[in-house]
Amino acid sequence: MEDVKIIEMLFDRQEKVLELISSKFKNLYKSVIEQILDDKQDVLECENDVLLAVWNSIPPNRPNSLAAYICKLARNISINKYKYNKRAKRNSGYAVVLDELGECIPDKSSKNDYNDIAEQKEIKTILNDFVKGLDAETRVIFIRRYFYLESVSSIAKRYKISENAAAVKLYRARNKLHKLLEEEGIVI
Amino acid sequence: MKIDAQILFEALGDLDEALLEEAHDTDDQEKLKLLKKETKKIIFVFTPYFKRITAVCVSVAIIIASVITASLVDDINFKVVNNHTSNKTSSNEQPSKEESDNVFEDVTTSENSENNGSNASSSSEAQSSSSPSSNNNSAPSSKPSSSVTQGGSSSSSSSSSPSDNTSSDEDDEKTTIKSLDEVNFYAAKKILAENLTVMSSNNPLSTVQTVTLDQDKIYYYEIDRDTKITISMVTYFTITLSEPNGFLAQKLGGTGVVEVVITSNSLDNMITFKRGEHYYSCLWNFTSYGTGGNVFGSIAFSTHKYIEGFNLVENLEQENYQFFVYFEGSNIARVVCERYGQSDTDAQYSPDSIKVNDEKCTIKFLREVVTIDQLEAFIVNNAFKKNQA
Repeated sequence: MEDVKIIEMLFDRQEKVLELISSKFKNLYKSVIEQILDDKQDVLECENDVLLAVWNSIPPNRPNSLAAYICKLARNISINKYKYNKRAKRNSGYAVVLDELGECIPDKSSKNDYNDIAEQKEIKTILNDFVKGLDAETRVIFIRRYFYLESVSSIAKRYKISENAAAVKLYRARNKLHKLLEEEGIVI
Repeated sequence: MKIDAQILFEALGDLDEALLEEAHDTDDQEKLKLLKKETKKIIFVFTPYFKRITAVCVSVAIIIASVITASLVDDINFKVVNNHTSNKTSSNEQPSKEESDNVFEDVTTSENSENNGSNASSSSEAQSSSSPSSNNNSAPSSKPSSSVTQGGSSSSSSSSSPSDNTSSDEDDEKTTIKSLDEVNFYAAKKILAENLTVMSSNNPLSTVQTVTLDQDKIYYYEIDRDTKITISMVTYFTITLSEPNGFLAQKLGGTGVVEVVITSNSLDNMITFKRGEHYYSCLWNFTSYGTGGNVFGSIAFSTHKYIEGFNLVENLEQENYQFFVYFEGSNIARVVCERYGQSDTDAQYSPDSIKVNDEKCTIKFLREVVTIDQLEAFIVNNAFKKNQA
């Protein structure tokens, strides 16, 4: 079923739409959740929370891309759950992603802490501009890795490139991001 | 500002939905290749400092290109006219086709013969307005004279009348698509002529795509012969312009009957106006839904966003006119032209006076992929069929 029709059903408050969303997008948002949380019960809870969040947020929201919107919700819900449980999932996909992203942040001292709303908006803008500035292939790979939490080997298989090629593209993108954050004065 | 990897990861969660959708939809190698092709674009971001200078340079370049193109078009038309004249003896005996069967019926030519008062900018236009029934007619877009009463002819965009006796080089000139205007127009004609399966929809406007062009940027899309353009909505109707100084009348070389197509496609939502040899297209601005009366809804197209060759251009420096196309079910209720942001004394043109000719139009919703090669083949094939009748 088309996303437009699903959104219309949400606006009409037809409850069966949740089944449709689950059947269409479950694999997608479940894979995102499972990259962040290791406990099966937590994963199941988050899956249900995602559906509830979709129901509660549409309307008034009317996303252009339902898949991307649901993934955002799944990601945020999982991160909140992770923080709440304070569990570290070692050697998991999520931990590896955090380690990789840690390389992007310059290691210099700074006086300011990241708790200002204006600064939050600033880094979001910086990241959006950075990602938009990447070439198409790198952009797609970068987002699949750091938003959808897809593994490097899965990305390589999907686009029929070597794992090394995918890893190099990501490495170069992280280097670029590192330089950019350094120029913007954003540090660890 | 101090952050850590966790914060960076969370911040990545707020990436624009369009970026996320692009990555999600590009889920295999073929789609990635297509994306790489489509996004080879030159984006000029104009700082306020360079904006005016660059606008002036672009304007000068366009003027120079127009002058060169006009002289080239004159040369091409001269060749075509001579060829057309030499083939008149065979074409005169051809029976006229039913208007409804001929997708290349130029409904504008003979009806506009008296309406070319204002700058016919090309010699072809002037020629097409002259006596179409003459065997010595120098009208490259005219049909064989027996069918002139239905409104002359128009074949391809480079428009000479298709003929069995033309050389292959002249066939190439006649059928080569030279702009996105022609892509849009002939894609719509092809789809409607082939009577493709229609997706049902209770809301004619429900599948109109929305595309936003960033301010102060000019996008250049590299469209090549293999670029696949997906059409999801198409409609066709005709209008009559009556204001000689109207913006559209000036772009199209005069007033009178104009063919109109609207498509929703993978590049943008576009409206293309065609009057004889002239095309003008502009892009979607917004869609609204009617709240009262019989008007279902409307689509607005802005002249700030237009087509130039194979480019989609946004130019905020020029006068802004908007064309509102009001739908009422499957009918076009009215088309209105309004000017924005410029006083009457400063404006170079007037808003167009537009009358919709058709009581009904065909609105189709579908998913059809076209390429330039296919459209040119369609033009040639249909011209060939017409000559066989």
